[in-house]
Amino acid sequence: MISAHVTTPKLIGSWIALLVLTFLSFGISLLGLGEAELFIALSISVVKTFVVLFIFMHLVEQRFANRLIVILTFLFIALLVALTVADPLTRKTFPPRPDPAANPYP
Amino acid sequence: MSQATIDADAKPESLGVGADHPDYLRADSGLRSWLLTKDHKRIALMFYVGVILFLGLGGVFALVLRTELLTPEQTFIDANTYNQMFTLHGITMVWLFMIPAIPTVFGNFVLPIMLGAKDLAFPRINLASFYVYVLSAIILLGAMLAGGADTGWTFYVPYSTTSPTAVTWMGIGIFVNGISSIMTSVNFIVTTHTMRAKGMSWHRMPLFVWASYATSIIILFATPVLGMSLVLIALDHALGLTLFNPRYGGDPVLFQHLFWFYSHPAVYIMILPAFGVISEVVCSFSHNKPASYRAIAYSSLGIAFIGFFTWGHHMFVAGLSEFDAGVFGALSMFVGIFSAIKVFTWVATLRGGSISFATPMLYFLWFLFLFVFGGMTGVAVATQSLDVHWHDTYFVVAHFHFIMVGGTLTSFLAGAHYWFPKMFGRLYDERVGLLTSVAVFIGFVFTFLPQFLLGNGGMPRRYFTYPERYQWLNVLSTGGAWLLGAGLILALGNLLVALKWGKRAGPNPWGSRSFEWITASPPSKHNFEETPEIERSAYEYTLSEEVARERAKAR
Repeated sequence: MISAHVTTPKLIGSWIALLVLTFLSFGISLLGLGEAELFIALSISVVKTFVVLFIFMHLVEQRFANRLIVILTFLFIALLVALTVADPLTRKTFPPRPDPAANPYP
Repeated sequence: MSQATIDADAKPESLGVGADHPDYLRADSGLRSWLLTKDHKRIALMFYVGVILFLGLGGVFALVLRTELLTPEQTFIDANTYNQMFTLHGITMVWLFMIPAIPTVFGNFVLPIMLGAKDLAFPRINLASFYVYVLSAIILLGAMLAGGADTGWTFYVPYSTTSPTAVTWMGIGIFVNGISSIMTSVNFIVTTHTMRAKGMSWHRMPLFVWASYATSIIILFATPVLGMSLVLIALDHALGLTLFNPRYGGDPVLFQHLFWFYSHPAVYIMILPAFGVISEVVCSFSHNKPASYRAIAYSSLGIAFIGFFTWGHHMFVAGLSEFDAGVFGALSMFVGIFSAIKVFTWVATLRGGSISFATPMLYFLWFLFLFVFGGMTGVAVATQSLDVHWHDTYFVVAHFHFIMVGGTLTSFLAGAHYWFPKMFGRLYDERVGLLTSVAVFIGFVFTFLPQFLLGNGGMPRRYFTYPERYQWLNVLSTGGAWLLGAGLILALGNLLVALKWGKRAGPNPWGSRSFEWITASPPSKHNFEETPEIERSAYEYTLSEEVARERAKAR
């Protein structure tokens, strides 16, 4: 059962939203926020991805089961990133790991 | 022809549905009709030829490296060739045989018939997947000839980025191979959702369909990550991007994370279709419904799901943090639960059944032994304290061969014998089938059981030479490998002979109630002239036809 239609105004609205988000990510890159920059840029990309998926690829018109697959895909990427990032963040070995930056390879 | 009705009360047509039409082998003739066919059964046969060729090639690589290990020092090839051999063996067996073998051959052939469909949802994509597979094989073979690879099938950095061999082309070949896998899996998922015959509810589907469905989901989610990782390696190797070099802020362990995020689920891509074949075989040859249909069906989905949470157990000694190692170690144990559910359900299915010991059933017994043995050692290596001792030794080699080869190869052979009458309309020689099956099993055990002892005794994997005290176990292992090779060649010979000289098979020589057996052997081009109506489960063994007819009259 189709619950929503992708209409032309919605397409134009999404297009403008994508443009605004693109300029937003560019603008934030100029602020020099350091490590937070990457997190913000990726978050904006995720939002843009969902706009493209749901509006331009008409996922919003689909049954929940079909939408679930896309949501699950996103969760699997989140899983990959979470457990991979958890690894270097929790590497507390004894004796301490030598810092490669302090002792660069010849 | 009248509409086919598949129910417990109907007397099966003596020659099967579609018997008055030319079968799929004879419906069209000429090379062109094969190369451009959109018939799922013909595409399955073309894949069959491909995967058997690559099983043979991978087997030759295995025999070369096992023969080299017959003596502690150099036997007949040099160290570089040895490094190439184990790499090419791994790449050929994993991507050109084990991953495509059961889905593309038996899945392609029987899945649509099991669902009561005339073909897969996308026949053209199905044909394209075959040619993409061939293209990947050509790229990989070309890369083998143009330098090969000596990194092992795992392509670990930093070595894979600096190896002088054809790593870039190997990566591209595997990337293209992944596209073929994805095409097949999309086809299976869509077919299962949309092409089921009337009355074929999800819980009436044969268990092979559930297993193929679960496999397709894993392929769809995991393969893109592998593709991406190998593109990174290929780019790094070709252009020197130093993506994983710590000197430039990279982390070699990151590659292992990316690689195993695909490659651990890939183990389940290889073994889940095998579970499907085994479920069909055990029900058909014990003439009994599964002890719990839902337990087998849902545990496939459970394995597909939990398989994504365990990749880190390959990296316990690679510098993985203790926190991650703990999480991955614990999660890995869960796979054992779902696997055990399956094993107990298969064994319970035998209870009260009318068991016949044909060749596929014997392969089921070998499968059970090898899979449980391999699975239990898997739980052992998922335990960190033990893995530190066994990591990168022959113990791990023996473990994953028990699971992947013992599980996948035995069930591939079970399927090859089980569906042979359906695919070709002939019966193979049962005595030769049983004998070759015993040879395969004994050969397998002699090859890999000594490797557990070698690994536990400290012999590392992928070494060209070894101390003399390991020689007697290596000799046993090499002897076993030759016996295994001979058993496989004889099994293939038995089936090839039966193609021409085998007795003609009826539509249902095993007395199975699964839906593919209702069609003629071999099936007609369109399987069913009209879409059948399904009025029973695929495992309805309790009602004899006479009792069923009486009940039908009473209704």
